Amino acid sequence: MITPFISTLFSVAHGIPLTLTYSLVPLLFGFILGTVLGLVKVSGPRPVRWLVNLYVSIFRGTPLLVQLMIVAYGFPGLLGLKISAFTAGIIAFSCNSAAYVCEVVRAGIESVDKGQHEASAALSIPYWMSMKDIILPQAFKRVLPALVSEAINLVKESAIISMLPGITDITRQAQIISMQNYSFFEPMLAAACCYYVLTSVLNLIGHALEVRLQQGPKS
Amino acid sequence: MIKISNLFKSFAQTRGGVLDKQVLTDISLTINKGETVSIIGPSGSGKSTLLRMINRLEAPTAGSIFIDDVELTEKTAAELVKKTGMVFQLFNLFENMTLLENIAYAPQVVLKKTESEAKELAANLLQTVGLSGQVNQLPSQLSGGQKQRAGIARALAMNPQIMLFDEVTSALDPEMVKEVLNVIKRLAHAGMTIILVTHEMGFAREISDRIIFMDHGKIIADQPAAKFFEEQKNPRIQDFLSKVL
Repeated sequence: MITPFISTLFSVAHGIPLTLTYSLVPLLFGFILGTVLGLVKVSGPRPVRWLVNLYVSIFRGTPLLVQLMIVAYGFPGLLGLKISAFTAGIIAFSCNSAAYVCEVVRAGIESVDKGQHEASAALSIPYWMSMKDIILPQAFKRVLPALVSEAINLVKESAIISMLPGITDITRQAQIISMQNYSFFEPMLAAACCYYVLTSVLNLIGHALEVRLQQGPKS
Repeated sequence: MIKISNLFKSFAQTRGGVLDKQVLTDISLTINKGETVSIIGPSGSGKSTLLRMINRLEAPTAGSIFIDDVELTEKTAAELVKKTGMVFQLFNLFENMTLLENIAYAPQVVLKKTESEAKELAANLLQTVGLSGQVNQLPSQLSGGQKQRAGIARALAMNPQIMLFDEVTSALDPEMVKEVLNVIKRLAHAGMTIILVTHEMGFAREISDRIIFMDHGKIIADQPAAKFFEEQKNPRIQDFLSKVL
């Protein structure tokens, strides 16, 4: 019982590199784009803020699976483009993540005490310098737990990529083995174990980062 | 020199401005170079708003402020604000920076000093305010009095001509008040132009050349300190002083 499960686990674990690719790359892009959108939402001109609001509401208000299908099949059909499954996955996940990160970053910036902005202004520090060196570092420290949650969500939701052909992530690996063995329980349990290990590692990294930020600079 | 003429400020409370809250009404006032002026009065009288308008943390609804004969507007603010240093009631030190970084940051990015120049300046100023042992500590590791002395050092690092103190001792434990007031006193004796919003009547009397008394957004009295405290004839001010002295 144990030995076959371990061999299934190893086979399913072959999907880990792809699962990590479809979570960490969108995490990076989503973080960068989301931070920019969050900044625009706090300090951009009104029409641009409306556009960001529209973007966020669309990506948070529709299923990720539908977004993935639109990017992978909808746009290519409509515009006559050829988009690889890899590119479609990265684009859909990054854009979706950016919408969530945008809201997290906005909330973080708005939670920083008004006095920090006033002290910067009183010292004639340019707005964007103050944002970069004073406000954003404090905002990120406050929203780190929410950002770690977003990273964990990305790892779990990356399972949707198995809907596209030819991408053997953890879930797809488990499906293949299930079909070969006519048994779903062990491969899916193995997949669950793999996801759980990945999200637990992310949790630990997040926790370590939080502790480090709490300690602040060396004294 | 600061010249304020016919300054009005109201804060919008509702859309359309029908019920706007009038905070300052027709304030005119001149403050000369090297003068120490204390603004006193009951809470909500507009003292802090007036001070915050001198370094453009609030924009006037009407009227004008001139610093060294240049009108303070959105366009001129960037240059004129550099002439003023502000110290806040709640310190507002940058929470993510050590004391040394707090003080060295603005000279570096605004005055374009090199990192080593800015840090040397910061270390000297921290020594002046008696904080040379705390240079690498975060604001959260300091007492209120230490934070406020660091706040003063941070404002001084920009080499301002005018220092604005907004109720800087109101959030401090009584035993911390003196250490902060001593720093302000040294600045006043060194000839710095100082505008002070304070509830410390004894201190205001000791260091001020002039006292401005405000009530309901208006200046009720603008008198030399000795005359204000010793020959006060205005019944409203007499009543106020009898309660706080």
